[in-house]
Amino acid sequence: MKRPPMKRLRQFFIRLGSAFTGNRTDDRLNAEIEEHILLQTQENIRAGMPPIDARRQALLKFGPAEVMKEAYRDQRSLPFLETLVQDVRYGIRVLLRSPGFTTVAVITLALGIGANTAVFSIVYGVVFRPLPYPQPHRIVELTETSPRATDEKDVTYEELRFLASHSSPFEYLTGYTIQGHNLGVGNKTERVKGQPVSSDYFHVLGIRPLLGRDFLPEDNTGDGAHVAILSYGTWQRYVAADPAIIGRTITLDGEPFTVIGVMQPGLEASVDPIFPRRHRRMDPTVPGEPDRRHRTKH
Amino acid sequence: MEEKQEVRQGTLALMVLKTLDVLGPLHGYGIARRIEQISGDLLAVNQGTLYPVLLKLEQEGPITSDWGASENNRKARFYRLTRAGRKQLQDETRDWEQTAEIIARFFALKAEDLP
Repeated sequence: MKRPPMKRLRQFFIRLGSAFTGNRTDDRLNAEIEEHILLQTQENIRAGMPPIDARRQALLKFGPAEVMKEAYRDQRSLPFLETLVQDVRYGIRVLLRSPGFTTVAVITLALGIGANTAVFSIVYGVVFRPLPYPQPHRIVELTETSPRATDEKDVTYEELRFLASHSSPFEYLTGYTIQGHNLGVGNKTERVKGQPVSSDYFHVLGIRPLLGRDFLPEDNTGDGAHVAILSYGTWQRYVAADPAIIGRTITLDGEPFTVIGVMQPGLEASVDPIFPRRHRRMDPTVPGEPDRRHRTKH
Repeated sequence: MEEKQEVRQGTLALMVLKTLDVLGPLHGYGIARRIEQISGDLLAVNQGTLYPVLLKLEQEGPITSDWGASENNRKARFYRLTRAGRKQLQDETRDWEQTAEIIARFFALKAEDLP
């Protein structure tokens, strides 16, 4: 039979209502069955059956009542909802009956959920959180492995140049490393981790300094003054976010560097200052001058 | 004994509607009895299976029910057709007649009738 949507909706609400008032309709059905069998019995007696047979035949004709009741209940309400309500009620009753178990279960759940949240927060921060750059999915880091070493090894400057001068799947290649330096700003000196980079480092990451300018290719090779970009954190800490820092001189291991910029906040704040590596000073015949860990963008 | 036919649920519902249309308000037993008589005992209906159908029809709207007194003056549930039920009965009667007519024409078909 066709069942237009309105009819279906109406039926749904009636069944939803019945899920909470089940017993009354049960009584109604039982009364109907009783009446039905009684009438059939009387009919049979009128037709000449002995009373005992008459009732038996009436029951037979009616068919299996329990099966029908089952179908009737399924039709009456939403069986899954009814079962769900029953299960929830039963669950609450059982929990109330054994408060000790309930307490332990609740504490277990609370600790479990708490621990999961904590672990996820950390794992997300360390593993899943994307790099704080535009288009982080296009940035990869290259390292080397060797059969003899278990660790990853950094790419050397010569290897980087080789990769850059040959066709590669990358759009740009840039290098960076991290080295310890004595940073002097004004009359303060501190041991910090600095980050020598290729001049196109920020270009590859797709970010620009907050103040001042980015590095230029000459900064890698030129004979002019050494230049450096400070991290946002250092800028805040050393000179109280004074914009006049641009153009001032700081020292790294005693050598003077001119500050040309300040980076945006939130970007690898643990290392700074950042300054172009002077490749011309590197003697290719001297091995072991590492230009470590090269980021690439493609 | 002759093998009786199974009743499809939709067919049973339609029989219920027609019975109530012709005879007016009836209780479950009365409906079962009528269907049995009219079909000439050809349909094997476990009479109990009627009740879920009645409930379904009541939920969907074509019939409604009230308590009343049966022939032996006991409390019984009486079912009657609603206006929506009358309309549904008309629609379904037409559908059935169309279907029956088409099938009848196919059965009447002989090879020489085809061009």
